[in-house]
Amino acid sequence: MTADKLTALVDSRHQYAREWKKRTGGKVIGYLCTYNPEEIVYAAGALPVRILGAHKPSDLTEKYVTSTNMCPFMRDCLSQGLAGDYDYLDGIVMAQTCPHGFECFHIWDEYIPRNFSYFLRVPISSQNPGRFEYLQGEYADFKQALEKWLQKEITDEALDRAIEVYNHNRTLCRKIYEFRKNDKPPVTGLEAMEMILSSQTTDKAEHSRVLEELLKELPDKKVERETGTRLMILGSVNDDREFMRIVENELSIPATFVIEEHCTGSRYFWNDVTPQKDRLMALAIRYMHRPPCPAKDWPRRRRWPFISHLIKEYRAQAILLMNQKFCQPHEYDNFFLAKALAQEGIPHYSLEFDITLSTGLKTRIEAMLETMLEVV
Amino acid sequence: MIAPKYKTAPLRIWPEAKALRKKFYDEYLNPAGLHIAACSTTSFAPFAGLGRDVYILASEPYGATISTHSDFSLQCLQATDSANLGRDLCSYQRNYYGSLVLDKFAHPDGVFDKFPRTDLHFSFATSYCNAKWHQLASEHQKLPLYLVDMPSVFPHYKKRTIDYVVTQMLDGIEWLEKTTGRKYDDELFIEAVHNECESYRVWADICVFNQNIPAPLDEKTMFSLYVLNALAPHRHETVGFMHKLKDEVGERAEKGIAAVPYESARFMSEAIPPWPFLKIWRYMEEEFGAVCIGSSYTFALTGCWKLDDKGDFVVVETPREKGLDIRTREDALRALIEYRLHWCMDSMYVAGVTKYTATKAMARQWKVDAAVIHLNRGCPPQGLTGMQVKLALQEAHIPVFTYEGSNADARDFNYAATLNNFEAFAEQLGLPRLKK
Repeated sequence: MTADKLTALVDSRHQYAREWKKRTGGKVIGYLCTYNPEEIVYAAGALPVRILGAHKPSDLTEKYVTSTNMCPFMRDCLSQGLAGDYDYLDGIVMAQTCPHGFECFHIWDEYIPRNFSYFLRVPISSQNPGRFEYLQGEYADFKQALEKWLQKEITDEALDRAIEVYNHNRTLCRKIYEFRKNDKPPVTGLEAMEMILSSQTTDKAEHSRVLEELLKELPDKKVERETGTRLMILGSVNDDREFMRIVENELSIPATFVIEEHCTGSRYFWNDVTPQKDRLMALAIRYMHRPPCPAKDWPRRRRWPFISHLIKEYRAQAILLMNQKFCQPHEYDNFFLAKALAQEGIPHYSLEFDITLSTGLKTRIEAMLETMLEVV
Repeated sequence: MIAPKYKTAPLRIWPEAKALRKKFYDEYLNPAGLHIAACSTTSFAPFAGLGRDVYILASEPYGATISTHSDFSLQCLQATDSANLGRDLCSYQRNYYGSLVLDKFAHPDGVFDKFPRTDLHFSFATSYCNAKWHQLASEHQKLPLYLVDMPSVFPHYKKRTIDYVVTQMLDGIEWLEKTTGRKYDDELFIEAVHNECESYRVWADICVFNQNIPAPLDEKTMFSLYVLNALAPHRHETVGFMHKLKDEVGERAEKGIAAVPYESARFMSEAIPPWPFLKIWRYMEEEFGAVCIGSSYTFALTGCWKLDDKGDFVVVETPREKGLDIRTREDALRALIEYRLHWCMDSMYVAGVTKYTATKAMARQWKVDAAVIHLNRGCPPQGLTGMQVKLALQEAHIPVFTYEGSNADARDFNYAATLNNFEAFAEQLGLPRLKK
């Protein structure tokens, strides 16, 4: 099954990156946040890979940052770096979003030095006047820094190709997501997550070939599992596959994640780059217009209309509002969203995530389904 | 019993500082005029263009004020918890939001019924926290909102950074005119820009006096002095006060008048202090004779600094001192933003080589013997950098004491345990107790 290929890509992402390096002779650049303009890195002939956690407890970070206020995802990523799991990275980039990511980047840069490191200044607001020009300028500096390091020019043609490759991958993701609207979705939430995680850690052109295969299978795929309650999960970065698996396979009440709104899901691929002569401006517009992280969703709320649209389109019956412990942007927004969902009469439940899952999560979600949706 | 080494005297200007702070709070209670809510990382100078009856509620100082009224603070925090606003969010903001929900107002004189009228929210956002705070508050109060993205980029700012902020501010000023119905007065604005930069400059000069041995000021006292710059740096009263303060502190430095007569050790601190527990500073002074000379927070929240070619932490010249010709709104904005983009306000919250280099320079220049670092859970961006500051200082062979706490949530602080641990640290430093 093609979905298994995507699982394998996530499971073996480190091996994949090492083999890609050997195969292509290219550089691998890790990134911590999806505001990173991957197209520029890709156009440079490098492979951008999202740094992910391993969901194993570790005390490696304690010397560098207190665990009592750092986002577990970033702490987990940093642990992997300190443990040497990412020793194949040639460089690391952080696109400015939240201070947790910045702190992780700084510590990485200081204590796990790579040949290339770059902190990309991205407007903190995705809405304010002047943001496109500012970001375009920052992209130009980033491009220049990459060119200097790699000793090669990133041409307009290379940028065009990268944009095309990335847009194609996004189109395929959106097409696959359409199937999740089905009464019996042939793609589970876990499979969708693995699709996105593998996209973030694989050469996009290669990844698209796997997605094309998957797209051919989906129309005729026999769905034997019961869909149950149609769930949406939204919030902080979520790469917790075990959580998704438990909810979709181990609850006494069936449930399926039919959609999500976070940066290992729909936020990552929802909008394309609209090509224009000024390629960097085209990228700046795309990244400022993408479904925003709450850290950048101000002064007006653009996230809520997007979430509301997804709920309707995917007929989500209940929403899990998750945030990584200490993830303040999502704590702010989840407060607002809980009220907005309550006003709409949409059942919802808040969860905090840590590096490892708490044992009570399964019970809590079952209780939510029983009490809010009266499924029993 | 240890004998004091230096003479000491109270600050003559102290009552004036208290009176001026109260005046700014009293003004916000005035039903007349225009009332604006803004983070104190905002430049307040632009508001002056709307007239001389513009009163600002600076969000963070207000959150700190609430936290000093312990019962009321607990009510505010509990109200916020009950409303399901996240427990890990800025503790200032949780106090502030609770104050809105309870519709009560904390004033230096006490807690009053009815939160005073606010007409709009207009704030700089040097971090998403500032932005989301005011987004939530303005939604709760159903008020207009404008937020300015103010990148924390020192020392990497470029012309495009200034262009970006100026573009937003020009748009923001038009928004203020439309929203308030007031005609903007550029002359008042230019006057306020000069005032604000001067207030910041003079405060920074005052901080430099603490390089003196003995230090003429202690940090607990400095907390009550810099706050005037956090409340209204653009006002001529604040400029006047800062100059008077500078004269007095300069005189103390010249005459060797110490804040703490023993000065058995010179500490620096780090991060916003736990406001409900400032008695820790007095404890260090009264039990061990140690003076705390300041911190990047105290120096740079309302002062602009840079690292010079020698790697020293030095004060930045104001636009007037640089001889900049400010005639138009845009001139004023450019000068103001360029000045404020120096190592100031939220730059110190941001991780990075600059912060740690500057902290080490401070320790050297201010002749620090040890550091006392608040691992502040109440300010998430700041709390994240605490251990890195510790490592940087230890690299410079400065002994470091760390303690966990919160700037404005007293529930997150164990006072007894902190004192116990500090005593062990003081012993390790060889500091004798002043009293048996």
